[in-house]
Amino acid sequence: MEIIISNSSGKPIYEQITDQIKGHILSGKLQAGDTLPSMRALAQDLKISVITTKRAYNDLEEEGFITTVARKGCFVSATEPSLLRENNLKTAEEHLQKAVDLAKQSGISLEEVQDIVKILYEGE
Amino acid sequence: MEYAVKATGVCKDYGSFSLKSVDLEIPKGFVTGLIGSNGAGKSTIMKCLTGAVIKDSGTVEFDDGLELKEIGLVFDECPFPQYMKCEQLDGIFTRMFDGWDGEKYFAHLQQFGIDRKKKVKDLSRGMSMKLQVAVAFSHPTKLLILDEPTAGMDPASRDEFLDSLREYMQDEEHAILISSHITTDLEKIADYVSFMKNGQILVSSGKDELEESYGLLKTGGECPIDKELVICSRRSESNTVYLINDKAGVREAYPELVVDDATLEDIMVMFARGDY
Repeated sequence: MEIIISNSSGKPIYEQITDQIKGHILSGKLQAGDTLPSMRALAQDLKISVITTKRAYNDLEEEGFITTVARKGCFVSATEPSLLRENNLKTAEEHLQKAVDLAKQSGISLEEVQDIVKILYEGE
Repeated sequence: MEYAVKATGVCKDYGSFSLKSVDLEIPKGFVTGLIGSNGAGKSTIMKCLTGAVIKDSGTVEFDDGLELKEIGLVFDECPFPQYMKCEQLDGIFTRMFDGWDGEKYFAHLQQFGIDRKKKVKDLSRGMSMKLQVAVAFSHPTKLLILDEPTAGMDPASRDEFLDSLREYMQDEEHAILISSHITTDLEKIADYVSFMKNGQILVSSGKDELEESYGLLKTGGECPIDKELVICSRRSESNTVYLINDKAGVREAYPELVVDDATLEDIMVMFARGDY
């Protein structure tokens, strides 16, 4: 499982971990039933605190992405595609909110923002 | 939370220096870092925990099942007989520790690049720290108490040493208490940190919480934010730097102010040199 931690992204490390594991699950790199490294092993590997990996795993578990089986480890849950879509929709909305806030502060019009979104979306 | 060791109200008076009612908890399964200036009392509290220094009052409780001999120690001064060769220490520790693993000891010597034929007194500071680490890793322990273990080690050696601590922490029954002036080492390894000053613990907290909450507010003129959030400050000719709590809240409330993240080193320097 590939996880890349940036110290300069401004995003908390636990969030970087949850985002990337979610990404792996969404993209199918991690499948339902796959084993995740233990919290201690991941902390050792990424050279970060166990508290951080624990927080990331707890969040992932709360959101239904993984399940922890006592003494066996953490596994990728059988997630419903709709749950994943909803999750991403929420994240997309948050990002757009930031863009809109910034646009409002700087006097950028709705039309201009819509144009940018359209170009970005179709450019993909 | 389960504790490997819990110190409550530990006092020790040396006349010129005293520990003043120190509470320190070392949770099982985690690394606790101890930060403070020279003479803050880090070594003294570490020695009080193991009984190497007799405390005047207070209690030190060990977790059930943790015995003194299961504590691996690294102190700032190498306590081994100075005129013995490193390889001869094996004979002493075989008799001293149940479960002493001579093979492991020699493997660690080789791993750390310590010449087994060298006398203890001829080792450089970094090497004598590594020798103590080799000994601590070669008998069965559940707790490591490490006083400035990285002092004198070069960056690559420090990195290797921290890796070996991470390896040690794969067992959740293990715990580590470590002090270091190289605060970046603690940033890399500690789960919890405690700041000491003048024989007292100022703050004990999760390292992540600390890094998320503490910030440096840099401004001219009067303090622009609620004084409750300010821990201490340092004034210079051109500006004042405040160590503050809840930096996220301050950033949101005052987007025009400069609020930087605070490293453990920043926090330590502010605690040591700031005005309260």
